[in-house]
Amino acid sequence: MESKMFTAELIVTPRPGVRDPQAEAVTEALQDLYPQRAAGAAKVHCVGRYLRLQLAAADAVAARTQVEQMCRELLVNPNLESFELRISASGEGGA
Amino acid sequence: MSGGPVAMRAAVIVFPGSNGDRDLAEALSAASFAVQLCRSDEPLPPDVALVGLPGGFSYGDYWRAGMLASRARAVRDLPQHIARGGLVIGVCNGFQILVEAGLLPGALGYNAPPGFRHRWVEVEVSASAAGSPWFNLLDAGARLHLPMAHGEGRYQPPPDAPELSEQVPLRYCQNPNGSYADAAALLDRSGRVLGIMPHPERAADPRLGRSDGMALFASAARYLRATPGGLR
Repeated sequence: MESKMFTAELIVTPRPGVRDPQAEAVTEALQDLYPQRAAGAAKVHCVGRYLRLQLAAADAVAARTQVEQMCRELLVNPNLESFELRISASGEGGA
Repeated sequence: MSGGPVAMRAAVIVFPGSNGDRDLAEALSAASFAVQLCRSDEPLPPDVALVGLPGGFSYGDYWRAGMLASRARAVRDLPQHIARGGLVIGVCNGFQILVEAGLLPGALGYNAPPGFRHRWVEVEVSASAAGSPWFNLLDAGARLHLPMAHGEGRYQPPPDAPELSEQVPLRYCQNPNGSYADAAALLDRSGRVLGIMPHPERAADPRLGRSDGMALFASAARYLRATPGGLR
């Protein structure tokens, strides 16, 4: 089967229940910056990381399977993190 | 034994971004090891009894501290070194690399409260240190003053882990980073692989403050001297 190009977007965030000190620090900075909005103060729920990559696969399901393997083996540490993955077909010619 | 590892040779792996490699090599030398600095992208020398992973910011801590270094060639050789009975110490970033490589359980997250902390801390030797080659000169209850310098040192056990506190040989007297069980260090089940967040190698010369950290290196040397040819 001919392979096509796909774009994978990976968002890694702290696993629910794991403390997120980065979010706490950014929340504090925002509340410092906008003290007048104290009533509806911004609260950052999580700080994470974003990765976009291109890969060749037979179809979107196969592309997802490949990237999920990368997540398990390298990109996500399940002790601390969880992830979301979006797979889309790359533009004509593979942008 | 001919062909077997020489008990008192040590290697310190140098990663791009390591900054504690010379300190670790100096401290191991002071404990009478013959130390060689080794590139992380080359195989581990086959004849070393002890391997040190130094502090620093390997690969700039990109994506996740220790992640990229944990796949380096020399690190991939560590399981074989450990299976032979060799000792391993990972200090600070070296500890992060050991957990990322799966050689110690769990992970090291951002300090809580957040921030990079660098100061002297007091740690206490726990009963779990008994039997580990790294602690044979130290009794449970002994206290050490060691410097810490990290932003990602909050030890987090695996979510489904059994009780890990029996693998914690050193506990912070005042937890500076939110670590589980006040863990300042962690041993594998054999006791031969040690990950430690504070820096024993930076407390290895009384002229620079204190030398409490030398007890760990001297313990390792004593263990290896007592087991000549003991490595498989």
